[in-house]
Amino acid sequence: MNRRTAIAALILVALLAGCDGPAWDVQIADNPNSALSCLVSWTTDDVAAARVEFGLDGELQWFVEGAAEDVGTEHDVLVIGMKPGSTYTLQAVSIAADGEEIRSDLLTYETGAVPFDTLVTEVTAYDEAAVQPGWTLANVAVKGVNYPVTAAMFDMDGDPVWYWRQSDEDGRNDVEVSLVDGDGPADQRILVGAGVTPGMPAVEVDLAGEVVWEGPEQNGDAQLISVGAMHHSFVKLANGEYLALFYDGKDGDLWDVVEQFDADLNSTWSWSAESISTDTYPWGNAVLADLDADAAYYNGRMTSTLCKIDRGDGAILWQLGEGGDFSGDPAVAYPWFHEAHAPEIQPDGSVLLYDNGGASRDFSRVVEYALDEHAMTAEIAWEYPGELADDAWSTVAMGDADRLANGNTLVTAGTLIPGDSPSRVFEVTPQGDIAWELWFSGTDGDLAAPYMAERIPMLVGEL
Amino acid sequence: MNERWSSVAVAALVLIAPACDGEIDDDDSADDDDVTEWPESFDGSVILQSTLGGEPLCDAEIALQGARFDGVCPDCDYAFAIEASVIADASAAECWLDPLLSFLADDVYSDLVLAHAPSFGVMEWYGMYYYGDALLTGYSVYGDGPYWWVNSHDNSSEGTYARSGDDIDWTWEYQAFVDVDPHYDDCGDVAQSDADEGYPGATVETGEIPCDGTSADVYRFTATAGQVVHLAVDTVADDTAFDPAMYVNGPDGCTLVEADDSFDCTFPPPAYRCPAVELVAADGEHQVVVTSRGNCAGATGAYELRFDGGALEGVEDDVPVSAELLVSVVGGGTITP
Repeated sequence: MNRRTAIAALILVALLAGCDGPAWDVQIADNPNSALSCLVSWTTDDVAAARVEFGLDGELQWFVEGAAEDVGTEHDVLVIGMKPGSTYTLQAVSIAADGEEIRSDLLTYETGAVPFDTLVTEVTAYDEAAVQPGWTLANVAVKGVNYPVTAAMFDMDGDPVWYWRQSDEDGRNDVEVSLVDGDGPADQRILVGAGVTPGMPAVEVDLAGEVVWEGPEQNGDAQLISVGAMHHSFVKLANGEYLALFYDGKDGDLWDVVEQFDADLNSTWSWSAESISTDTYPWGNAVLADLDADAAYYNGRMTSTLCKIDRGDGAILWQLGEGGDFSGDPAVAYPWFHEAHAPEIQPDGSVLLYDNGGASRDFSRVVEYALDEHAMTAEIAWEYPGELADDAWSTVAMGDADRLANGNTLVTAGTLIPGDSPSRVFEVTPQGDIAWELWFSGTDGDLAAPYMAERIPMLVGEL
Repeated sequence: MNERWSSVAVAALVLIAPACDGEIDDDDSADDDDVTEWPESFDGSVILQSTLGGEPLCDAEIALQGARFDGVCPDCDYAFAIEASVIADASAAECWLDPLLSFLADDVYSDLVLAHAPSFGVMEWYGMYYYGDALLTGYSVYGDGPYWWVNSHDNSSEGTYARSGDDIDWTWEYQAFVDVDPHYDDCGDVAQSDADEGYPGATVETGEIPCDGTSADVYRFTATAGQVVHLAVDTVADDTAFDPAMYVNGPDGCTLVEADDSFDCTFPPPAYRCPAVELVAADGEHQVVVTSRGNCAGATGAYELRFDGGALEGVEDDVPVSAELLVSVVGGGTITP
């Protein structure tokens, strides 16, 4: 594994040469939570801000800054964003109040191997001018849906640059990961929820991989659908509370319940999908909330409907989908979605989702509906059908579609089911051009597929 | 209604995705290679015992003779086609020696196979689940197979498996409450009550039933065809609150309607609501059966049954409607390489 070099394991002492300031020691410590991260520490005589610059091939390409509140004489800077099995050059920088920078000697640090080293990634398309730059945050699952719960960030080259693993015990397949604010925008955390390891909680972890919040504990086991188990969807709301989907049931029936709770796990809102009039267990796979509009959304995979819910009285305001409350688009061959995943409400009220297609057709697609909630019409405003792709795709399960800041759409398509299309995350422009494409597979021909993925800003600065 | 009792029929359905065909391994040549490496034969036995409601049900010992399976068993390290024969049988008449546990073929299940795979993949909705150290029963259904049932695996709560040299041993234990209700008979469709209020009713009967839902109280009333009657079961005190349910049978004994969570109980149980029914009656005697769905404040649920259709007569108290099924399997034998 080449977990660390000797340099990484010891404390480095570097005398600052050729500078006017006092001599200072720089220490590099492993991050016990990640082989792709280290902590760089040093002391200055005078108050200063801190930064660590780092890069490959002896160059300094990126930087991370110490937290603003840590300006002082004791500096601890967490370095993230490094690839596995690579030797990095680092330099600690102290910035005095007058802006003068004092630099340490060049240091080296060798990263280790990731615990998901059977994951194979390959980027086959990368149009730098067309992409929404950043990192891609996803969960990792290789070979089968029982896999240790792992959140990972991949750079635009498809290399892992950050990860966190809950334990070596298997979780479920439907792990939702997202980048969220902690005690403010500068306190970035990764929320890992839904299909977490049985007996363990949904969590928020900081960039160092430390658990800073524990949510509900997962119920049941990794194989069976269990009443009380979190599944598929676990999101943080704008008010800092959480919205999650749980299996519920009684007397052998199964349905879903949507729970909203605060950081102390006090319930603040609840809604039961039992109120949907259907003979079919809807098998919800996404819950959303629009607190300003006092509305929530529940997506039923097996009913192929997206429900808008009045958070005040729990009433279903409308159902979008075939047989629902909207008229479909008469001008298209496939006006409705089937067994869809990951609906996303756009600022203009349109709905973007991953349409698996079910048995209705032999391809999946991402599709955006423009809704008129007065005329109750649902027109297809944009779509990217799998049949149009260079490598057509169809997946019977999973899938995600996120609208990016540059107008592109990030699509997660792939499952752990033999026979489904190979797994990939790709960024497609409004014109249907692939701007970036990252393929996932496992060694020995195994399948690998994230449940969801999202494009996040690169969490290190670029020099 | 309650036909012969399978020792594990219910269990097999509830358990981990038993059926999986050979499609998960596309590499037939590899499978062929596997076959040639499998051991030659197996000689062993299995003891299958069960009780229902504390009464003996199945008690049989079965001899197992296995020959190397000539079919496909993905990733298996051994697989034997089993010929099973009963050595001793002291079972009750209602016992069904489930082929998946006894390896005894019947009209439905045949071609029983005992197999083991260090890692066995089962297709689920979102992809493959892999069970480690999986002891498998292979079988055909009406001649179609093989399908595979995972008897035990490394995280199993029901089954165990151990191998020492060429000796293997396994156990399987299962507990469940099964329906033995003598009154419920769906005869086809049973309506679900859409009542949403706790009708008052001029006639009120009170009763108590165990919280655990193992027994029921039975009442009867007589009505004329087309008569609309209302029934409601409500709780009567905080310390005896529970989640009641009821169903109504028509004069022909067929269950007409079920009710569970129709209105808020006067004394709410920890979860769920009280049942009510509006019924267009047939001509003759009807049965009303009151049961518990658990969620009790105490060990016993106390209720009042309200009825607005005339006289209501209690005819049976604490009729068993559910019984505990316990199944125990102990198997073992020796593999000849």
